[in-house]
Amino acid sequence: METGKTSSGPCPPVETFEDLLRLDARDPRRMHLDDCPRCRARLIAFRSFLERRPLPAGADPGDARRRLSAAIRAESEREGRPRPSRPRLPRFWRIQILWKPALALIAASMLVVLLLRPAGHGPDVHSPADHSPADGSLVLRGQPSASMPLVADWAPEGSVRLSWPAVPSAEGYRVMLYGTDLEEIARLEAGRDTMLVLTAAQVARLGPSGGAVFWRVATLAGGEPVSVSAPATLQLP
Amino acid sequence: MKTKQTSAPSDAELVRVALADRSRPNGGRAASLLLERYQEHVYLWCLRFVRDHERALDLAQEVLLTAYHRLETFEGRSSFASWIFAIARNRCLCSLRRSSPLLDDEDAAADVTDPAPGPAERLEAKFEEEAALDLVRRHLDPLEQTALWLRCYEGLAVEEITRLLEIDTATGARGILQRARRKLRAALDATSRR
Repeated sequence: METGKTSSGPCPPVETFEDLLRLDARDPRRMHLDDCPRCRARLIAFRSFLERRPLPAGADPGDARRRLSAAIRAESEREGRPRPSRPRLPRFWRIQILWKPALALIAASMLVVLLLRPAGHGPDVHSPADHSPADGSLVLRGQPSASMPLVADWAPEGSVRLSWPAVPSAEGYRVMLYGTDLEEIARLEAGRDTMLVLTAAQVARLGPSGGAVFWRVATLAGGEPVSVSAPATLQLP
Repeated sequence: MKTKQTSAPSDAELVRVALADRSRPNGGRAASLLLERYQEHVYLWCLRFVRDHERALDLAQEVLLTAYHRLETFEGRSSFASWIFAIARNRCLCSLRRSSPLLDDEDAAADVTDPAPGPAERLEAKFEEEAALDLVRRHLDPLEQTALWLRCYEGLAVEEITRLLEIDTATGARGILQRARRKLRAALDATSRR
């Protein structure tokens, strides 16, 4: 017996349910909520989250209130604690004291850039031609950062080719995808390749059409990540 | 004697103050007040999953502090309640690991927990969930679909599903769930015979 209807598009995130419920009952997005078992269940779960229901066995809301409040306040105080301030010096002395560390910082930065620049290569050696690289940067543990452009090329059938420049001494790469809530939604091993293709079906599972996810690449050595790029946005078709 | 009527600030107002004055005591207080409004909801939600007061407190604290640190990412397009619910729900579901939730027996599946399933497992679980959704849609009636989904993917207790779905039969949601699982097993058997 087949009683269910065909899917009417991807499920919307829980956060949007309240807005969708205000839509006209004939709106396809509203109809999806009524039709989809997953959305119906999530909506019921959300309502149950908010309601004052009978306490489950073992509940101690008084203790929970006390301890959770203390944890929240401790975090808030820790973040909001002002840094210890020193007595302010006259303006002339402030300038005299500040310019020396600033100069030292600039000199150190220039030295780092010179050291990291590969001999005989221009600064854009890793940028594939005809692409507009995303703004990624490779952050090495304990070392300064260098640029790592991440590129996403979409094929007409809906697959996407993710690519990145080779990193010397890398033994492999790992691609990590995140939702807009920054929860990791996928982790894919690329081996030694500097590219990975997500099929249209895989892309469809990443999120709703028109939405976006983030992705980043970890460089592996000895099976462990030794560096990771900054995240780039992947706009879903 | 005149009395001054004051009303509690709305969630949206607290978010605004918390984000505007984040580094000042005022902002910290607003964020604390906002999260304290939901701490009991979050705690009870977590307790439903782990069935242990101390573990529920650990989970709830994780959820609340995550919300505190990610407050900047709350865009105000949805209510704060649904935003923090999404965090709590994701965190609690991540703490559960089930091999085949649709077909597992109630009691066997209920206490199997894992504090941190890996991302590969989560992706696999996501794909399995899509396949399960398709199966459920094709073979179950709407009441069975909702009951099974609430049990397997939202982690609600059988008694709670009975109450929420207003099932007034003698066996409550348990009977519906058993029937649903029987149907799915039969459907899978039929598929494998082809």
